[in-house]
Order: sequence, then structure tokens, then C-alpha cells
Amino acid sequence: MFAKTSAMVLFLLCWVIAVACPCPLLANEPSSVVADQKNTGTVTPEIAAKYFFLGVQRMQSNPQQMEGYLAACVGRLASGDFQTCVSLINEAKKNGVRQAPFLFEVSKIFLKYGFPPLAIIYLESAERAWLVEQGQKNV
Amino acid sequence: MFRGDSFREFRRAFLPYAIIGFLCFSAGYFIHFGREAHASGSWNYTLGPVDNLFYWSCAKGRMTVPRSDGNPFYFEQIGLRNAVPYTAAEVVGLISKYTKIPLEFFFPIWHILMPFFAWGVLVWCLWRFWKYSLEASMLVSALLFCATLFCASEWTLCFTRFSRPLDGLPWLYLWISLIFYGDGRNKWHALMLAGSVCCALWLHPFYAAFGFWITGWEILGCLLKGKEARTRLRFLCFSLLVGCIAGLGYYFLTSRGSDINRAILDYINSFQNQFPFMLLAMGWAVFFLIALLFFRFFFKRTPTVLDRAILEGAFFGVFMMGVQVFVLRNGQFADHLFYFSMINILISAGWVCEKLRWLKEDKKQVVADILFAGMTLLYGLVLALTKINFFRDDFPMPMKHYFMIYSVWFYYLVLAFFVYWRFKGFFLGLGRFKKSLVAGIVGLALMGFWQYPLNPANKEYPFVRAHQWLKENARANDVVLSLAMKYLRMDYLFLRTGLKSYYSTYGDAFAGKGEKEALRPYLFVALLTGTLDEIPFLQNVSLRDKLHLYKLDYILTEQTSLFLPFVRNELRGFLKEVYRDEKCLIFQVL
Repeated sequence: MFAKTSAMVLFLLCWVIAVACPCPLLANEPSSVVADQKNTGTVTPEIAAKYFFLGVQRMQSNPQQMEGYLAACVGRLASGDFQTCVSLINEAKKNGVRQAPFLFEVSKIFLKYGFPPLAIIYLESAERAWLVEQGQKNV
Repeated sequence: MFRGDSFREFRRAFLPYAIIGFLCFSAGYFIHFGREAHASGSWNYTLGPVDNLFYWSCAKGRMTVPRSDGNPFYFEQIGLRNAVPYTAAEVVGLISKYTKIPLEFFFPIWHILMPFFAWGVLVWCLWRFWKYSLEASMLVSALLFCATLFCASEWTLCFTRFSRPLDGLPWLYLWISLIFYGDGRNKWHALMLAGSVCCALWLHPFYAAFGFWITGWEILGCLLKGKEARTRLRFLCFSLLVGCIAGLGYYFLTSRGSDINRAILDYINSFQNQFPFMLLAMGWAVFFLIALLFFRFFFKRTPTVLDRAILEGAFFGVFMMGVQVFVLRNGQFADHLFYFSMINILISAGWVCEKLRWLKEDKKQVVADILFAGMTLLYGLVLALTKINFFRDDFPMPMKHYFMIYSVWFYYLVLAFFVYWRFKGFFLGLGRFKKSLVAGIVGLALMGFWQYPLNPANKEYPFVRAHQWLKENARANDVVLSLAMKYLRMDYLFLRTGLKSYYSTYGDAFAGKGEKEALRPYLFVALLTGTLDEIPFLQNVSLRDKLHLYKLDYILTEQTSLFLPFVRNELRGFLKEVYRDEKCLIFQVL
């Protein structure tokens, strides 16, 4: 008898929960603000391609200078392709480009082209590299 | 339950070990946090790396008027509370608020008394409900706690984090123990069951999911048994009923009102494709199912409570992974399965010991030897092939949960007892607790506390005196921009001064991604890199207006900051130096 009564009460409670209360976990509205703020329209595809090829040329002629990587990054980001840009950044690290100023500039580029979370990540990396260069250990 | 004899026996036998345990937890606190304090330069800057700071900030946020535990870090979100409350943090905050005891006082209290309490409850349950000897119960629980100190990343949180998952562990384990061994006619059992269900659910509904899962399967088992299990069925239905009433109360209290901050629900997402881990969970469950059938048909043993418990626990993992993969892909259920690792380890360790006892009784010890050799080989192979150290390396969370259970019970518990059993006799018959064993465990625990990694962000924390100055001189709810990326996560500002941050990792997570907040990271990076003028969609806004789009009163920086020259250069005329020590500077923003 007790089990049946419990089951009935449970059923009623479940019904109240299901019908009367909208679930807060499902009440989130998607946001497209960040996507709207992408700034890829200020550089035409032709100019972006030019930046990229000039950058690659510079990378090949002087792989330890950051300018080539930055120009190539701008070219790719202007086309909305940040994954290639990340590969270029890793390439720069492999080729021994001085990290702190390079990552600092990368962060500025990411910000300019509408990727603030990535800009923050690279700014953190820039600071870490800078602290290593300064000889600080708590990084 | 509380018959005079058993209670006296518990008190007589347990009290000496309780005193040793308490001293051990206290010593552990001073060893670990003393090292942190030594590294940071202050006892106020000793929090661990993963979410401790957030939970304590929530507690402080609950103390403010109006409350700001919804996002304690940002000025713009004062007055909000969280969609899913951090109950333990809120309770600590409220106690501190109404008793006028400083929040800092609760830090040692929590880190000493909570693990001690959880350990005591585990011992009590293992002894009274699971019927192990008191000595063995204490040994297993102590070893389990020690094991967490030697493990990597999230698993160590079982012990050292405020407040989850340690706050739920004793209630959930009491609940599970009563479900399996509670006496439906004992009013104390009913009372404890109701209390543990309510506490687990109110601390976090996710804890209760595990309890309800086990309860549900046990109810099903009782229904299949029919009339003989009627008393137990009533008892289980009672727990379900209490849970539903508590859940309904929780729901109505937490979901109503216009002051709820739902931003974190947008922010959380699962870290990777979880489908392979669902297969892992299924493999884990199937292993125990096969083992059950093996003992059923080859040894003619009927399934025991431990068989049911381990299967239900294993299939709970499958269920949660299924929910994660197929239903709520953005949930973090799989990533938080480690909340139940300790309980699963206890159950699985008991299960293995039970099977070893059967093998011994049936004179089939050679099977145990083969099984152990096979498991060791398998473990070694996985270790060699993946080159992963399951205790120290960081790897995907659900996978870690399973390997941790396996590693811990295999190496810390089962192997220890297996060796003891083979050479000394089975541990269930462990008579008097030997002093050398107690000394060994205490030594292990103290070594665990000593080798426990320190939080690198606390090392030589530069803002200790600056925070003190801000606390004394800034107005309530002033906003401070910190020019140090390495402290974005370990942002002690609110906790130590009550002031708000311009940007911090936790603040950002709880701020949401709506129109109002999307600009903040832009402004933050632009400020640090000196490119406020270059933000594309704010070209026509003056520098002063950009500076005050969000409230900003002070800039706090190390003297050697990478960003200081850029900020100084760009904000000439807007900054006034108001504080300086050998490590840092504070500027007031005009």
C-alpha cells in the first residue's frame, strides 16, 4: 500500500515538474555577437592573398625574423582561416623566432581580426615567453 | 544502529584512531598549506589551481549586500545568483556573514574537518553496514584518502578542493550504504536516509543522480522479488519520495526569480568527442557482467550485494556517457564522473576481495594468481604502449576516471590486501590493528601532503601588500584592472579585497557571451597592447569613453610588467600613481 501511494505521489510530482516548470537548463539563448564582430571585410581577398604570399617569401628568405610570419598570418586571418595562422605561429616557434615580441604582435592581429579569446591566449603566451626571457621562474 | 553496546564499541575502538586521524589531517593541512604560504609569502594566498578560488569567491559573494555569488568578480553582475547554486560555498558564506566570523577562518576548518568527517562516515558505513571489521574499514578508507594525494590533476580534488566533490562524498556513501543494508523498520536508518538524500541533492543534483540510479535499480529488484522484499521496497520508495520532495523544493527555490545568472550554462561545454569514452564505459561494465556470469556458472555463486552495487555503478557510467554523447552534448557529465570515483573504488575493492575469498574457499587460488598476472600484464602493456603514467599525466577525464579506479584499487588497495592475504591471512580477519600499520599509513599520508604539488601561480605572489592597500583605500565595488596575464585565473582580488576585476578567467566564464559582455575581451586586450584606438567597431568613440565603457577605477601592475609601457604610453593623462612598493604599482584611472 505504501509503495503504491509513494508511486502515485511520485508520478504527481513528476507531472508537476514536467508540466508546470520550464527547465532552466534548456532556456539558453544562442548568441552570435562574437561572430557578428569578425572584421574580415576590411581587406579584400586579393590583398589578403598578396599579404600571405609576401609573408611566405619573407619567411623563406629570413626564417628567424617575425615579419614574414606576421604578414602571412594577416593574409590568412583576413580570409577567416585562423587554423593556418596557428600553424604558421608554430612554424615560427620551430624556426627560432624570438617568442615574446612575436606572440605579442600575433595577439594584436587576432584582436584586429575579431578573435579576442585567441588574442588573450597568445597574450598569455607572450607574457610567459617574456618572463622566461627575463629569467623569472614562476611562469 | 545506536544500541548501547555497538556505540560504545565504536567509541572505544574508533576514538584512538579518530584522534590519530584528526592529528594527521591537521598536520597535513599545515604541511601542504604551510609550504604554499611559504612560497607565496602569505597564508592568505595558498589556494589550489583548479576552481578553489572560484568557490571561495562564491562564498564571499554570498556575504555581500546585495549578493553577488552569481559572478563575484564583475561589477556589472552584482546582485545575481547562479542557476545551479554552489550550496556548500553559499552555506559557508552565510555562516560567516551572520556569525561575523571572518571567512578566512573557515579555510583551515574546511580543510581539516571535512576530510576527517568524510573519512569517519566512510569508516562508519563500512563497519556498520558493509560489515567489515572496524580496523579493515579504517585501513581501507585511510589508504583511499592517501591514494588521492599521489594522483594527478582532478583526482586530487577529491581531497583538497573546496568544496566539491568532498562535500557530497559522505552523504552519498551513507545513502548508498543504507540503500543496500538499511533496515526498513529502524527509524534511525530512515532518518539518516532522509538526511543523506536531502544533503546530497541540495549540495549538487549531480550527486543525487548516482543515488537515484542505484535506488531505482534496487526498487526494480525488489519488485521482481515480490512480497518477500516488501519492507525493503517501502524503505527504498521512502528514499525516492524524500528525494523527490527535496528535489522539488530545490527546483522551486533555485529556478524562480529574475536575479539568476545563467551565463555558465552557455559557457560550459564538453572538452572533446566523448564517444570513444562511452565505449570504454561500456567495456568496463561488460567486464563486471562477464565476471558475474563467470562466478555464477563456474563457481555456482549467487550474485551478492557487491555484484549488484558494482554493476549498477558501472552502468551509471554508461548511462552518463550516453546522456553526454546523445542528449546533452554540452553538459560536462562525463568530465565529472570522478565525483563518484571514491565510492566506485570502495565498492570495487570490496568486490575483488569478495571474489578472492570465494576463490580461497573453493581452493582455486591459482585462478586469482592468473587473474592478477593477467591484469598486471594488461596494465603494463597499456602503460608501455601509451607511455602514460595514470597517476601523474593529464589525459581526458572520463578515461582518467576509469583508469584511476583501476589503478587505485589495483595498486593501493587490492594488491596490498592480496599480498597481506597470501602471506598473513585474509584482511577481513585482520584482528588487532598493528601499530606498525598505523604508523605506515600516517607516514604515507604525511608524505602525500609533503609531495603534493604547489600551485605555481602562488609562488612569490606580488600583490599581497597592494591588495592590503586597496582594501584600505578603495571604495566598495571599485574595479581594478590587473596587468598580469599569469594571474588571470588565480585572481585573488575579490576574495582578499572585495573589489571587482576588469577582466578575469572566472569572471569571463560567468559573464556570458551576450551583447553586453562581448566587448570586454576586446577592450581588455586592446588596453594591454596599447591598441584601444585600433578596435575596428569603436573608431568613432573617444579614448576616455572607451576607457569607461566598463567601470574602471584602478590599474594594478607589477613594476616589471610586459604591458606597463604600452598602457602608460596610451593612457597618458588618465593615470595617477597612488601606490608603489618594491614589486608593484597601482594607478588610479582618472
